[in-house]
Amino acid sequence: MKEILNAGVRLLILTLVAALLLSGTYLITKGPIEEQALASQNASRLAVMPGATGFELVDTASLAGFADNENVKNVSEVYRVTKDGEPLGYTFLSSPQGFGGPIPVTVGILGDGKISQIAIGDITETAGIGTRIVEEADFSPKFAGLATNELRTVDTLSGATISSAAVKTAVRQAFNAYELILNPPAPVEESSAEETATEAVDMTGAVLEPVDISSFAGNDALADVKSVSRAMKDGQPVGYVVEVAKTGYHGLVPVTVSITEDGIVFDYVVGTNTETEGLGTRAITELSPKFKGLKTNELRTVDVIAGASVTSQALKDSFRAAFTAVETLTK
Amino acid sequence: MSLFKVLKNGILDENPTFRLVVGMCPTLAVTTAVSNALGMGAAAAFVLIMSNLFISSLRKLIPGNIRIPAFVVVIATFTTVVQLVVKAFLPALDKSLGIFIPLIVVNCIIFARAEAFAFVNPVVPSVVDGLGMGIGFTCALVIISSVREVFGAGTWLGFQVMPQGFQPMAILTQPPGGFLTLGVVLAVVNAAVKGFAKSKQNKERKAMA
Repeated sequence: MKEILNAGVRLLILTLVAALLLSGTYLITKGPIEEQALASQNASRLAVMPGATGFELVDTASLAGFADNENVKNVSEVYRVTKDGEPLGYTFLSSPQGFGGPIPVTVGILGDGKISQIAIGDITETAGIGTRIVEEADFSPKFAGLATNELRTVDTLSGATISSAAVKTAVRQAFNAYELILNPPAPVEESSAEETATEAVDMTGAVLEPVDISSFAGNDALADVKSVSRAMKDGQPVGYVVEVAKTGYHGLVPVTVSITEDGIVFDYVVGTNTETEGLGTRAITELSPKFKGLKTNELRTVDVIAGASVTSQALKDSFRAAFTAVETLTK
Repeated sequence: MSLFKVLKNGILDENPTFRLVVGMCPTLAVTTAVSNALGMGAAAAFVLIMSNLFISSLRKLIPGNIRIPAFVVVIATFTTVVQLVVKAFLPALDKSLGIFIPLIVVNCIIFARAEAFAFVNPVVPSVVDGLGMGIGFTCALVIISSVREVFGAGTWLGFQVMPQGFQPMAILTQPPGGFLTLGVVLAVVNAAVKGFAKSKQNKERKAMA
């Protein structure tokens, strides 16, 4: 008992001294560390905007068009750059996903809409492969002086396609953000009238007339479409009903989709399938409210369910095929 | 044991990487380039010397049954202090060494030397042991990283050493290349040690005859 107490007290004193030492060091180094962090952040911005004297953080959260915008989702920090009081341009920190993690790219865009320079920050790409985006000294300078429509002239590096394409994405998003700051999108009210006009037409109670789909033969995108019917209501066409059966995880997942004349999913039914109970079936129940009211270009906004990706993807592919079928018929 | 012998012991006879085969994790992780190897070696040697110094001087105050937690506290405290100070006052060093410094906490060479040497020896030999082990570790890292950098990237310490036509074997700078290189270098070192011991034996036999 005495021995344990003795050891415990000694250990307590040792850890106490260690804690005091650490907190003392922390207090002394806290200020300098923050200064260093700020200096290194400014350094990357200064590197892309040589000669700049002032950096002012732009509050992108309050800017119109930034929130929930896919086109600028990787842009995190925007600074307004000045030189001796005169506006010089903007810097954007854009960090899209590379192969081994995010790739932070600082992009400087001058007042004339052309890139000053870009700087790639600390990356965790595969050594010798993805790291070529920084090792190849002539890759980053290719972006200097480009305008937004010239970005496609920069080729990705073969063998490091994902990493170099991520750099291009970063620059593209910086351009998008720049565009948004200069020309903020019009307020939402104007477009709301248009949206109500395309609301789904009620297709309930429509009469179905089979459509000849022999023209689909040979089209891989439509290989799984089983039948298409024209939906008629009071003698007027109101839309199409498409039956698709894509292969899920355990065999076919039959889906019947009704699409209105305006190309909006009105309703759909998933038929008898043999997907794994609790996994694949989850995709069917959880995704179900998400497809209704979608248009063909909105289909990608539906995320697959993690853990049931194969089944979710089969559902998405079914809708894609249904949309394609209707588009082929109306063309 | 003389101090010189203690020093030589760490570099050759009990080289942490090649003879004791400890600290394999940092060895494999940082040997992609010679500059990284030098940085890791220097940082580890520094912490090793200091932790040996502290543990050796505290060894009479620490009861044997709590020595392991005591080592952990000393090593972790010291590493954190080094990390904070480097970050605050030596930003250039922090940029090249930043990720290696926290790794030192889990470097079992430091732990092994605290347990095997510093806890049972006086202060001066302990510090010399830390220095020898640190040099031995650095040498081993430089040898492995030289092989990986020269053949994997065609450079040594950043300078082009291979002819322009040389196609770098990129796998050597990848994690699998670390295992491959370590295995081959260990085999060569073992063969050399065996050969050395044999010739020594032969010499002794001849002397006896």
